[in-house]
Amino acid sequence: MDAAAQSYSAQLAAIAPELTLLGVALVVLVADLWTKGKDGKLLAWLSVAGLVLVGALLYGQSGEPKTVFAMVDIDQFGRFFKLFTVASLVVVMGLVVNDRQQRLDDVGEYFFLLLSAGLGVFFMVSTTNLLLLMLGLELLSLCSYALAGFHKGNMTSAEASMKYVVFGGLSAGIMLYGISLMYGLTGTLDLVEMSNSATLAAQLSESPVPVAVAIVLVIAGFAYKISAVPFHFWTPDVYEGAPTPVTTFLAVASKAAGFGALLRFLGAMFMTEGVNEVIAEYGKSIGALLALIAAVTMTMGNLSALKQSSLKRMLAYSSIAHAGYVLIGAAAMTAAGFEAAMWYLAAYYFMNLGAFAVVLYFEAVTGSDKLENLKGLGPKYPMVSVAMVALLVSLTGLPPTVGFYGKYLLFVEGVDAGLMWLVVVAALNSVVSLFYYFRVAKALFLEQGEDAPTVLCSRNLSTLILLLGAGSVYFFFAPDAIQVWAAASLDMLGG
Amino acid sequence: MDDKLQKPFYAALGVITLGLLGWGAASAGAQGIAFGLFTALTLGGSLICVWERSVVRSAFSLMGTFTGVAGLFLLLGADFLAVAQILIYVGGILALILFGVMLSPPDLAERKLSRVLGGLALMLGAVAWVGSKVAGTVAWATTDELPEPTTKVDEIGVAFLDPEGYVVPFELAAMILTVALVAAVYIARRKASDLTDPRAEERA
Repeated sequence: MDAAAQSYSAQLAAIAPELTLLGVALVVLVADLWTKGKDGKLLAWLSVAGLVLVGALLYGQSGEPKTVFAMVDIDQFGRFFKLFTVASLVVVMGLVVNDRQQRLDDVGEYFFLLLSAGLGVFFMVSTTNLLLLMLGLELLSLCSYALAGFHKGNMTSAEASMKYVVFGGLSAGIMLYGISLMYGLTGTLDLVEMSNSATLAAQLSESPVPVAVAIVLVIAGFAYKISAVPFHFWTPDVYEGAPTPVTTFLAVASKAAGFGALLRFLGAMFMTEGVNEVIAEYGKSIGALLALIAAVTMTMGNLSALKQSSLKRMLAYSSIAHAGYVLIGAAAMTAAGFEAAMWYLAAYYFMNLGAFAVVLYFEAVTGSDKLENLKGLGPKYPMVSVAMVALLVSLTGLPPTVGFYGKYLLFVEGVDAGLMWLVVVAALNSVVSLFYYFRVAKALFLEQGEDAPTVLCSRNLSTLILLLGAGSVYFFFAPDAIQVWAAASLDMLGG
Repeated sequence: MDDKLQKPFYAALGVITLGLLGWGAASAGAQGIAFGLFTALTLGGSLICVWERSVVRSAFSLMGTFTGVAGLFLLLGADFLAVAQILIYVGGILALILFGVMLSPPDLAERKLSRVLGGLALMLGAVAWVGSKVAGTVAWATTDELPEPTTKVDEIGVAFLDPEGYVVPFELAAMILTVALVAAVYIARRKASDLTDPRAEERA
């Protein structure tokens, strides 16, 4: 923790993964110029190799949590979300290469923007300084806007990008306003310093309204990133319009990053060692607010998903609903609740990456993501379809899948934190979600479709889908692997 | 908005300006007058911006807001912020907005006052309630005298590059600008193959 004792080079070494990722992004950008934009495969391989290197550096990174450069926290919590991001980016790169709607020339910016978005995530999950958090968030957002509109000739893609920019700009403004109020109330931008600020505690005893306004505005910014109600309006349109690999990135990596920053915010502000008692007490009210948002978000997401005919739109609403489930863990405001939320995010990684990969696969087969086009395709593409059924079971939250175990953990922690009503709402929601997830399985296996010739699809893509499907079953039987990791990641709370 | 309301609106603005100037003069002398002037510029500019139907007028009235904010920064002794405010907002962003307005077709859709009144009243009520709570209960740091103006530019420069200061956010901001540039060029660029040569048709 003693920053003065660390040499400059030691501090640089601590952020080696970030620096490497930055380097890889720039190398890809220059390599694109060098090859005149004609060698997309090379760029993809460069990016994946770079990501593997970053992952290896992260994997080797362990030991005591420390703060370098006065505001970058290097700890296990950040490491969890950074490895999550690297792992999702590798899969997304795989999807980009297999995206039939994307020609593989002139895609240098695609890889550069994805890697830069990853860099934004790296910084936003590893700081308690609101300035750095905001910059990381903006870097992620900026890349996402451009990526959503990457298919330039495509009107829906352009519309998606435009909506994303407008909503994003608004929510960034709201969040910055909240941050400025928090700075005005405490005189610092660091969350840990805020958490034991005497002036903030005095203010809370006097009147909590100004503090509530500030914190709610900041949480609104996070709610936008994780697409929680009422900041979810952009989600279906952007998910539908953006190129499918980008949708996957937004649904998995970007959402997890939002949760990472939210959990860090709540943890540092209300739950660290040495937090002022009045402020810790106030955290319970914020928890109650989050519980309310969670209930509305999951209900809204599931009910809207029921009547969708586009697979991508359906998964968009489903991802809104899943944000609601994860919020149970955040609303619990306990270390165990956070742990459950992180476990669920790990489960979410397998099920949603897998589901979107399947969407990409059938887009290549049928040319669209309409649900009705899937009719009768199950027997023709047995491997992918069986994997899809496993993923759907997991998304619904039935055994024997990670979705079930993750929900089980969240529900247990929810009940422990006294949120029985929320857990009941979530359980009812899971029943509702059964209807729309199984419409997909029904279309694949039980309905007759038109006789169309079997299209040969990339074997790499089906292998990837199978791996993700297998992962979503495997970790149901080996939950400890993730649990140990998630538990170790809570070192940010101190002690 | 309604032409009939044009005169009362500007009259009210004038009265508010005079009131602010008088209040400033009475409470803090010359500094108070300056504060009243800049506050009036800021508030008046933003009110005219949402009031006027012509986008060009709205854009120009924003200049008042930006300049007023720069003036407030100056009063607080933050000269660098004041100069940056003028350079970036007045010089850059406002010019950009005006270009955007000039290059886009005019939109003269009528805005009905009655339709916005309900929402306006609700919003004003909420803002007033929260505002009274915020203004009434927060122990904002106050001082009887404004701080002495100091040159802060060199200190800002040192803080940007100090490892114990803001070097990481500074460099990350550089990365954000790079990404913005690359993304903007990608979205705006057309490939040579997309462009049709008008002379080719003539030749044919």
